[in-house]
Amino acid sequence: MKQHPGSGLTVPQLIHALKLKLRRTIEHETTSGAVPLIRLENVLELEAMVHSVLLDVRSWVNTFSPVNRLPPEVLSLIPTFLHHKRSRRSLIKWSQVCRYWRNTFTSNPALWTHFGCKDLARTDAFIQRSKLSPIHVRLSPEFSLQSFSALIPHIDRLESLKMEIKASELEKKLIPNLHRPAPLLEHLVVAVEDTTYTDDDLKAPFPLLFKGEFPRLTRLSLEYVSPHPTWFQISNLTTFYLVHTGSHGGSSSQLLDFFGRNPGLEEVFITYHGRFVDNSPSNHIVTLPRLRKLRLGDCPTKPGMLHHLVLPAGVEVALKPYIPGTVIGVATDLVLRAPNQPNFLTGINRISFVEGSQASVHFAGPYGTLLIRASCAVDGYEYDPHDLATRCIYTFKPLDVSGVTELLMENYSPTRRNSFESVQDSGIHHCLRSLPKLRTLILVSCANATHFQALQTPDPNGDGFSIVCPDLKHLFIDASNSRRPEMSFPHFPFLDLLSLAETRASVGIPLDRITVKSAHPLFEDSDLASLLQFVGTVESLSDDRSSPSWDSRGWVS
Amino acid sequence: MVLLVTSDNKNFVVDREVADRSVFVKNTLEARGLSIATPPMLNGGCFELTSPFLQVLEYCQHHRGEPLPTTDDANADENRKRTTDIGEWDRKFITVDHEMLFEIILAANYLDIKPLLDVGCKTIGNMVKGKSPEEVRKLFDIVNDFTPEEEAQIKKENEWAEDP
Repeated sequence: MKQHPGSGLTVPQLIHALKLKLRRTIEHETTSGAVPLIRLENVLELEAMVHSVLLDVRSWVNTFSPVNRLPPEVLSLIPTFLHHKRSRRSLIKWSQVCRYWRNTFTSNPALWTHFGCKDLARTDAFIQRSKLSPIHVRLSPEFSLQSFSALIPHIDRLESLKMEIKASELEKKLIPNLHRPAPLLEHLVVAVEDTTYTDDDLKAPFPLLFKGEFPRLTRLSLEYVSPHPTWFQISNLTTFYLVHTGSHGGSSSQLLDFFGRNPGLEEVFITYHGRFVDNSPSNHIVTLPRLRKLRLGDCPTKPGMLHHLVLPAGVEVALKPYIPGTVIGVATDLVLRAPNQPNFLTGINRISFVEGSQASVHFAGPYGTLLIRASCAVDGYEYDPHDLATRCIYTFKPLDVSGVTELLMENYSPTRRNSFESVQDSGIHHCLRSLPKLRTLILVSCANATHFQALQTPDPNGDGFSIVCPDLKHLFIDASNSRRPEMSFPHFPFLDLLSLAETRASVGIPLDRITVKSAHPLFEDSDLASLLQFVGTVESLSDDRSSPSWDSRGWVS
Repeated sequence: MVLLVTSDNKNFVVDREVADRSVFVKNTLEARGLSIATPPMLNGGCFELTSPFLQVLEYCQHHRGEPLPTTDDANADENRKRTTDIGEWDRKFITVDHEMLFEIILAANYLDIKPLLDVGCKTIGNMVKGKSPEEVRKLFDIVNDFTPEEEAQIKKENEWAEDP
């Protein structure tokens, strides 16, 4: 049974002793002949005892609560299932429930290892409670220098440090204090947060922190800082992000040497790398056998860089933005640099020209998803499908997209109809003919007559129809975010859709399912009945977040 | 088949695959080359093992054949801990009264069945998520047993507790 820490008695024994003492005090005063008198100090002593005993009784009562039968090692597992940010607040609250919870949580250092530096008392509490455990610290723009100062003696415990701060703060307050070795540091992020940033803010190269003594560093991200060349001497990285180095840059050979020192790199993201000189000899080849993701942005050396890299199968390559004529050459070159890969698609799973591209194409392997996304936001100009197909599909045709089973088209609309004379001549037709195994066609904000006609075009050699994509079973029309006239009633090209369904049914390859997602009906109920004569299922999804939609990862419910 | 004997002398014959969901039982059997495992009493003898053990067996039966979590994969462990999601079957399984919930957790801890321990802890986490200390006390029949000094310290803590 639980014992009182002061007396060593159990709680019932303590209560009994307390009663005895009270009785004796009163009896003593009575037997001395005087009026029973209890002295003030006795009252205070008794009150303290009563209070102490009461708290012990309460703690004792708490031992009967089923949850408190969980041993500390199990109870302290509970906060570990919450996200770190939320668990920090919850932890503090839960450590205020009772003594047992408080002792359990505050004496478990692993629960107090993630914290920021906004408030000294808070930072102190986390530093103390994390004891000697490795710590993970985030410095936001609102960090307090006092809190940061409290952290400095514990730099040797840093396992990760994320600094998202202003350039001036970084230069004046942080850099001078980050000169001690960080032997446990594995993850370092430095990101200058100034929205008014200009190249002039980075006149001096960003010096190597912690004297370069971070032997366990594997993940490094430098954003909006211009790293001193000594940063490129680091080795053993698995992740390297270099974002916007301002007017400073470097040479491609310097970067290639850096890659050579880091053959374990799995993820590389370099963008806005200023004044980069492509000075590498053509025989300077670097192999990155473990690379999974490579993203190169606006750095002038981008094409040149890829000429020097040997990449493994399955790597995801993103080039931003799309530079016509360059990327394809690079891609071809990649095949040459990966001699073990029989063709490009098995060598590289995905190529994306993102943000700012006129077009993007995603390959998810020979039997995966092909996504064509024509952006209509670029200079207000919409690409003609023919033009787009020429750029994307034809250029990639040697790469064999014939195994693709799912195609998504978003904002893919023929606005310059006079650029081709018939549907057969349209980019969409060529595109669909390149995909004989297509089973699902997803039209996001772009279902128009051409799409439907392209799937059942008149056979140029006879009177019948040439059926494109014979395996096509599911047509998904997402009109939820479109303001195009053809994506609303009565402009939706229903007759073309009906014709498509009828034609395919007549030759024995009917569509199994048509799914429509829209805030408003695209056609009337009587039209629906007509459609159902030729299609197994026509379903309508509500235009809200609960209904499925498509993104680059696949279907999302 | 394996014979498992609980602390209150009840016998359970189960498939080896089911018994092996418990790392404790698995290691015991492997170390001794036995087909009988006798988990000793839990919690100083006041623990009635049969009742939660039946529940634990049901869990092990349902999840038989699934890969066991490995102890050497730190990333998987980290990912596992970043979610409070519980599978549908597990959620129904763990919808029991408090008393039974904690007994199942204790049994999972003792028998070293990590996935079941996770489910139990996530369930408690979900129960107390967003609740104030007072609400947690009410939920679990706990009384405030802090000294005035501790109360003062807690009050001070609350001044910075709400910071993100």
